[in-house]
Amino acid sequence: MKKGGYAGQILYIDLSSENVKKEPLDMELAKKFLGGFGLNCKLAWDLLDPKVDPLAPENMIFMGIGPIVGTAAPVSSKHSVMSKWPSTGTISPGTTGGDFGLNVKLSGYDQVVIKGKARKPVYIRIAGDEVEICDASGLWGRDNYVTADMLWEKHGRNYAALTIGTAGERLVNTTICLVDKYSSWGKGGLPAIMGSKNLKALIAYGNKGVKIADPARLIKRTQMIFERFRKHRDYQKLVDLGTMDGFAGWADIHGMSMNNWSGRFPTQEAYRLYGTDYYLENIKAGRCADPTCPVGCKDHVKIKKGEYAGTEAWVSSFYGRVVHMAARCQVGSYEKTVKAQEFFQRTGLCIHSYTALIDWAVELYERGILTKKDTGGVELKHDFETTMYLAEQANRNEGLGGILSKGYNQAIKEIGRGCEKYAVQVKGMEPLYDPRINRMSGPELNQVVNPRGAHAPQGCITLYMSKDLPAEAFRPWLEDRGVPKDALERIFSRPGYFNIARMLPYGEDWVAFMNTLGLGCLRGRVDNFFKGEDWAEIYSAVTGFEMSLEELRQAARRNYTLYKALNVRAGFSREDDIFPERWFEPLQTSDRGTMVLSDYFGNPLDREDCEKLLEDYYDERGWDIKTGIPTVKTLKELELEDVAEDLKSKGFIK
Amino acid sequence: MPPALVTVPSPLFRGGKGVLVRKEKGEMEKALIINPDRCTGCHSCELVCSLTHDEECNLNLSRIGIMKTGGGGTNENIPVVCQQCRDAFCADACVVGAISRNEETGALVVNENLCVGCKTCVIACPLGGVLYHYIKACSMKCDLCNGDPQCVKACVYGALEFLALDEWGRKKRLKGAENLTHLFQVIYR
Repeated sequence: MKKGGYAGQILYIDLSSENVKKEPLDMELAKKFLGGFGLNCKLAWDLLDPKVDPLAPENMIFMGIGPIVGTAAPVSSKHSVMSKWPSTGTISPGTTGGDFGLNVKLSGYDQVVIKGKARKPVYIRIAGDEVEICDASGLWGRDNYVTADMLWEKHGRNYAALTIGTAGERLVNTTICLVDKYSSWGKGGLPAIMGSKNLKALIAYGNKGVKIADPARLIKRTQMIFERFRKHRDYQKLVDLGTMDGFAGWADIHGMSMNNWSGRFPTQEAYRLYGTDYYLENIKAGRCADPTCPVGCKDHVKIKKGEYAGTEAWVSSFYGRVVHMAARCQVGSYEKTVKAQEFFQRTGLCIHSYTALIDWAVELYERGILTKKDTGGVELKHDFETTMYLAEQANRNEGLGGILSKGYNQAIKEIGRGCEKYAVQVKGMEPLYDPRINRMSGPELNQVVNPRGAHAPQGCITLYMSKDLPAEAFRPWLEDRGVPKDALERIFSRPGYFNIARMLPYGEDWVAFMNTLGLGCLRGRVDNFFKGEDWAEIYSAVTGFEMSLEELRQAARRNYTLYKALNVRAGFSREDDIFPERWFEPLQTSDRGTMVLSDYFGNPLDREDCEKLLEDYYDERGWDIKTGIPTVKTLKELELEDVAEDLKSKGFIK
Repeated sequence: MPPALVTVPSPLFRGGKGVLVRKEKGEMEKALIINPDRCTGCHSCELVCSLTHDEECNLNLSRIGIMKTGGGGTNENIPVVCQQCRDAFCADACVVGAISRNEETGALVVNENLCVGCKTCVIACPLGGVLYHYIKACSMKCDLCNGDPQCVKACVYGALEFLALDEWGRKKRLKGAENLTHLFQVIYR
């Protein structure tokens, strides 16, 4: 039988010795861990020292290009990176779309592993069999946009460019890489890791092909999915608005907390300043999409009038990043939002992470914990000027902005003075969703238990988006996604109710599975028009390995457990899965009254209930309830005997 | 001694000019329409094209190519594909008459058995519609998938359409009317 999907090679690059090595991919390993995120976990388990300093040359960057990336299958764009993040100290993944993964795959590589440190600034050029380490002295000190333009100028626009901005060069932790100017990659400090390795950029152009085991079967399924999308009620809205289609959800239904998690951004303000009509009229310039993705979530924006006319930016998941500038920084207008976004994107500062830190710093200033002595004589407020002032400091890695940009863990240590009391963070990363506004659904709880830190996407359960569905509506979704019957019994333990802690693992596995194969997720937007069986069908058609949804689910569970084990070895346990203090305080809003922490059905949750949620979650995962560490039994069930042995020998489990 | 230059006589068979069977039956000719203002650069069309024709996904073997300019994004991505010219440069340039019109679909197709791989058609086409297939070692171009273009099915953004020419005309006019309406609103408000 013909095989396909996998390119069949792993590319190892050692920047210290400038050694480039290509090794064949072990297909048995590929079948067991599937690829992408899964193979990253496996390689990191085998090769990475869990106690390594994230910015040391010994830290490694694992890039995983899943088996369906580079094929015509819908949404086959996600590639996953894994490393030890400097902001959190966790060994965890980050995913992106963009053309980089596609071109690496079409160059003939499934995984790229980078270690060492170059003596002078370099960038890596991958073009099929040609892999070279090039001098980047002319690029060093340039921002993301200029770097990409210069690389395209030199090598051609057909290359996909993964770049770090100026902040990354200065080892700022709260940064992201950009792929082709728009796709962000590696929240938690991938640019700082690359900067520490003197690695300015990677460019790739794929001049080969990906073999497909059964082309006719793949084309048939692809057409079926695209047809379903065309008939979907949100189709035109998604095509026109991209992620801005979520505006009403944000402004009306859910909302975003502000003033460092002690208020909710008023609905009326959201409509006044950030409405979709204004966006279409004055902001939107174009739309970009990841390879084969029907939801163009990347925005090309350009301000048409006013003080900042002509300012141009490319921003992925644009709407989310508008929300942060609007609610956390309260910059005050759409134009200022885009202006600030442009600066963040150019320098490589992470809009998600750093706006949260700005928000926190303003509260510390208001409380007198930070004074003008710390800020350099500047008054900190929720406004555009403060945002830009701190962002510029962060970019130069100096002053208060420099301290904040190290991320919560280090900033708390450096500021001291009891500032941690006001820091809303888990494992040093900022949460995205407020469970007092959104109620405790998948993403909200995932922020607490995610090994990466408070990072929500892993908690994807499509239907959580809608807050008024009855409990029973979740059952068909879970059934369709191959959740076993006995698990369903535990999740829906009584009529009209579900236990979110027991449902969450299956949502997490689902996203882990997507990141493993290389499917874009974007939560509900893409998942809405897919069926569970599509994935088994696509995987089988592409690779030629016949696998059922249940088998794929088992592999995803294996990957997620291995991911957890990686972080157990790095020193994390239940003690790190902490609910932020502020979630237990009532949220006073200007237009929705007082909101308290509650479950999906609106029943208030106290500390004890939350601890119970954690226990249910670990139990459902087959992890130890007291420590949150996978048990020997679970590891053996998942054919991870070597992992069990290792954890045993290091004393993490008995 | 170098061989004497030989002038190639213009081929007797002018493959580009043919009468469409559909047209004779009174059916409207259909064309592959590109709308760069809707192209997000997602590569779906390219990957499905090479998969259909060559059983692998390969940007270089795709008959259609998305050329990204600037930062990418709609209006900056141009789908480049054969426009199936009425008087086709490629067919005229072909010294062996390997490019001829499929009278059912209206597509200009390369006869891979006749093609000698001289690449003159690639040089002749001013639109970049003909490319060289480096594995099969012959010219390749869009054949409209026998009247059912797969790329159009894979393009959810509407950047590619397969339309009857009269329908396309109506659509363009409608767009023009919208633009004028918008203009009037600005002038007379």
